[in-house]
Amino acid sequence: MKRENGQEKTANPVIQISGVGKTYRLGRIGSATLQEEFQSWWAARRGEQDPNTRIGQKQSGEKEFRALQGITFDVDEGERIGLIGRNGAGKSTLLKLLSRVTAPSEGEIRIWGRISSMLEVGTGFHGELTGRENIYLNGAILGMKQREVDERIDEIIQFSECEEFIDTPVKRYSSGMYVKLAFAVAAYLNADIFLMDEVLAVGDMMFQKKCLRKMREISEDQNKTILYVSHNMQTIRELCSRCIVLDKGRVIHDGGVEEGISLYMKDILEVKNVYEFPEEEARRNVTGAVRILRVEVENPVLGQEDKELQFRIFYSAQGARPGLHLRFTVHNSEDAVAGTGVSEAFRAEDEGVHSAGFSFDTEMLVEGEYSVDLAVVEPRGEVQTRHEYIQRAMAFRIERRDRLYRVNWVPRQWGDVRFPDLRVKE
Amino acid sequence: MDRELTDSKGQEKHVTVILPDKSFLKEDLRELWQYRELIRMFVKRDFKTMYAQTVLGPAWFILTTLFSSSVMTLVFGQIADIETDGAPQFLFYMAGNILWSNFSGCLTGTAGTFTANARLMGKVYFPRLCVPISTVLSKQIRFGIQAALFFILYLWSVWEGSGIHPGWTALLTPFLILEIMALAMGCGIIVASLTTKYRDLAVLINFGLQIWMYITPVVYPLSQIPEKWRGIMMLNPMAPVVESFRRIWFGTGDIPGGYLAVSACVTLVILIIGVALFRRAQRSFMDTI
Repeated sequence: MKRENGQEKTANPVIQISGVGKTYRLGRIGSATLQEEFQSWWAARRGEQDPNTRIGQKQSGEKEFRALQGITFDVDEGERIGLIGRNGAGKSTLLKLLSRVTAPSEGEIRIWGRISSMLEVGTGFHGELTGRENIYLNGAILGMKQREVDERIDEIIQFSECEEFIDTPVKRYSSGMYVKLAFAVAAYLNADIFLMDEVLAVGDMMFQKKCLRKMREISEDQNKTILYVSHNMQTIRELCSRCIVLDKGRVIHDGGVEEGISLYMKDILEVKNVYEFPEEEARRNVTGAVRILRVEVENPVLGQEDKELQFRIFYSAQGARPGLHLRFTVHNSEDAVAGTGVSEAFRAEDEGVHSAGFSFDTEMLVEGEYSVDLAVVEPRGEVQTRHEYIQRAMAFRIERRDRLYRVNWVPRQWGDVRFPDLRVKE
Repeated sequence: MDRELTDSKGQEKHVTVILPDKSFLKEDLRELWQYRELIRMFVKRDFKTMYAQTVLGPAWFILTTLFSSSVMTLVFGQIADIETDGAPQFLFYMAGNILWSNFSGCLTGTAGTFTANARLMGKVYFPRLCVPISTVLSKQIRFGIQAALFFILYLWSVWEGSGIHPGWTALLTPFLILEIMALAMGCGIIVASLTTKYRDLAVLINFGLQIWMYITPVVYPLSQIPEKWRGIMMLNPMAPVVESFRRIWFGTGDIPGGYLAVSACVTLVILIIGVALFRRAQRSFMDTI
């Protein structure tokens, strides 16, 4: 709220986070089912070994995972905060705490005003209901009264670009339309604080731009606060006025956007040999039928004679999958996409952990550091199912001095890909 | 968890304080009231999808009820030849049938609260109790249709001169229905809470409900049970409810007031235990998925 007296717009905190930590317990295999619980109890009674603990594991030795620790910061009214960090850094956990989905293990959060989170595709929508009915349902889930939705429904429909189909059951909508509708509901909700978690990842560029513009507008005109999580640095640059970088559950940067992004880029571009992806980590918008557990890179730094990046992924599968492909999206050190490659088919013969080796020809890429998004996809007829998707999963560096350019390569102007030399015809 | 505070500038703003744990039952109820709109939307959604998902829509509930009540009449009434204390057989079985299926429908529906809404609950906060409450309320639409059919047949039977007539105690009917809803929801959210920890419990629900039905006077009247067992049987909170419903509409006896009161108390206790477990489960649930 604006203060009545004083010309200067003074900061007014809308969120105060002090000393917040969140600890998850992992590996409680012993109590998954009543039957196992009973077996364990019976074994314990008879002084036998617990049949439900892994051999060698300490009994009742619960692993703990500290998703967040010692988080302290204030958010003032009207700020647009970009929240960035690697996978598993705690961004989503922090948003979950703020949206009250889960409670912190320690510390205190104070929030002034109403919070709106944008619902993901498929949550909060019911396929049999029409677009219009879903707007009301979504509104109610986000705590809006019917008359509040009534007041805004025309704007919501107009913004969603779904006018034509608004009275059609949404099961017939494309995922892009879902996103538009979901964003429209969340954006027009009369909230004070907006939480947006990677929501614009789907949907077309035009709409993404429109959404960012809208969020800016809401924030600037109505002094609303926005917390925006994304792996897309370009959108962070466009939207945010302040940037918080999380790493392993701690705040490692709180301040300027550019500084935050460069710190994060350095952080995600950690060029190393082994990348681990704990199975407990939640994935988004994937089936989860195949999960990448580990990536081992043989030559993360490519020298003069190294053209092929060699790496091996270890993945678990729920049953046999004969026709899997690895999609390999390369980003440059400024987080712009350089290009994407798709692997030949590889397979999972049965349930369990498998591995597959890949080689990627880096000939076309110019010197620099790159990070990679990995996705495991399975094309079936017309549709492509995405089983796994890890953003910024691995990184590599090309150190070779390339063929003579005659002049220095300028990636900002020329891009990161050098096409094969043009031939000269007489 | 929530408190209305007035800030230093004198403007009112809703303050939410999120602490490692903590909220009190009273706050829960207040919040639930604030979210009554959501409950209404959930019920509306269930109602709409009920039309959309079955070919025959609500007619389906009428057909299934008529069919299963007919089978009961045939098997228990004709073949096993169980006494119905003078009530018309078909109406007797239909009464038991619709009451019990309302109970079991509400129970199984609320038992799936967490599993069916995991993704939504992982994304946005709303009082979780909205889900079981709306489930139970939407099941009442189905029950309402079936009950309407029952009373049409009932009136027809009276018209035909079957000699049945309701007593003054028929005014207790809404209370009986309310108790069924409360008991089913209480049991349902207990199961829902425990299934967040013990996944195999879900498998036991149908089995448990089947057993429960046979120890409840659904397909037979209490009078068929040997005198000495009746007292124990009536401690089953569902037994006095079903038995009372029949007695007041068929005039086959006085309502078992004492047992009904005990049953209401048991229901209340189960509901309170359920809500307590549910509140614990809703917190740990999000941390285990």
